[in-house]
Amino acid sequence: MPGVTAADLGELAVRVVESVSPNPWFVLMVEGHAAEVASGLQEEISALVVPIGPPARRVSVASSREFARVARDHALGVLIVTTSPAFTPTEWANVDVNRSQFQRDGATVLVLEEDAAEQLENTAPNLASWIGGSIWRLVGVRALSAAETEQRLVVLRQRAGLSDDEVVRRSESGRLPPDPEFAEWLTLLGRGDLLVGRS
Amino acid sequence: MSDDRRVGSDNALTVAMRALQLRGEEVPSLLPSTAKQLFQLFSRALHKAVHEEVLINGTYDVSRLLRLTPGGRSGGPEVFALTGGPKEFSRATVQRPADHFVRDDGGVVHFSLEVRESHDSPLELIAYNFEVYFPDRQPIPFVRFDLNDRGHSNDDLGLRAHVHPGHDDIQLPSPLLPPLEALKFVLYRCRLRRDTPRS
Repeated sequence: MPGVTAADLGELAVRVVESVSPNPWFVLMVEGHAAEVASGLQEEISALVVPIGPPARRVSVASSREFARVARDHALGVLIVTTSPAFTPTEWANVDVNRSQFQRDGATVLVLEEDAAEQLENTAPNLASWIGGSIWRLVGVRALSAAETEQRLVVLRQRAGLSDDEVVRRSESGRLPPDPEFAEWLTLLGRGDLLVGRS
Repeated sequence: MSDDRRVGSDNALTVAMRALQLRGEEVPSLLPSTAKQLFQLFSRALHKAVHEEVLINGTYDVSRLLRLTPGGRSGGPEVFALTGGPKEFSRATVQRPADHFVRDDGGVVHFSLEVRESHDSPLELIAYNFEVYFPDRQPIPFVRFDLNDRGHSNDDLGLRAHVHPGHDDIQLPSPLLPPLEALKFVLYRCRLRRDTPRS
């Protein structure tokens, strides 16, 4: 799908909570585990908002009819929706034709696997226009890149006036100060095994 | 030199500092099971701070600045560095606020911590530093909470967990802070308690 933005759950949660447009819709595309991701998003949203007003709800729907009922019963607050395998392209087409039934005052987040998102785009063009550019892809935990690691190491070397080899040598011989900078340094060098910790 | 000032001997000062060390480490383990879960808790806390405008960053800055980097040797327990924001010892004025975690009062937050994850024991906290610095050096240049790796020198007794109150060479004892508490402290606290300093 075009115009997909990468984000983690926390960022998407902030976007959802802070959305001010009427009837805001979001699509979060996932690679499997949609229910688990939806649960995580619900947790992130709940952590952001004060516990007054309608809580974020999470539902799985198998048909457009069921989806419409949920939208009607929960017009306020954030609604996080996953679809079951029974939710076919025909169901998306039904949503599109009867889209006024899905208008809500709170934000609606569809957590969909890629094929379901494509079905939505192909069979529900009007709903897709509601969603507009609010299509997100989940990014996971990210490690420092090689360049970012080197930047940190440069700062550590300048600060201590030591080379990487010297830090490893001093650690191996028990002569490295226990300061946290050295713990980070060894870890970034892939020598976290030299850290003492609780032992 | 009096007995209490002699370094390395099992004198009254050493005994007192050992007692302080033990007392400072008397905290319940508030770590999750995995480094990834710890990363997610940090991500959530940072997004919340953005949402509450305690940080002036955009929501997308959190995933750009928060990293979980493995750094152990293959085959052994995995060690991770959880880092937030660039390592910064010059504490100079930030050129691009989006490249740092910047508080609403201008304080700049950065941190690094190392944990060890293994299948047969809980997540282990090895070392940390959490700093908020003030580029204009007001009200003080910086505050940093450190946890050293466990060393073997009596010099470090009582000070494995310590705070630097604006000077790199001054250490005051600190309780061992659970990492999430330390993060929240440098985000929400370390602020003037009144608008006008007393002196």
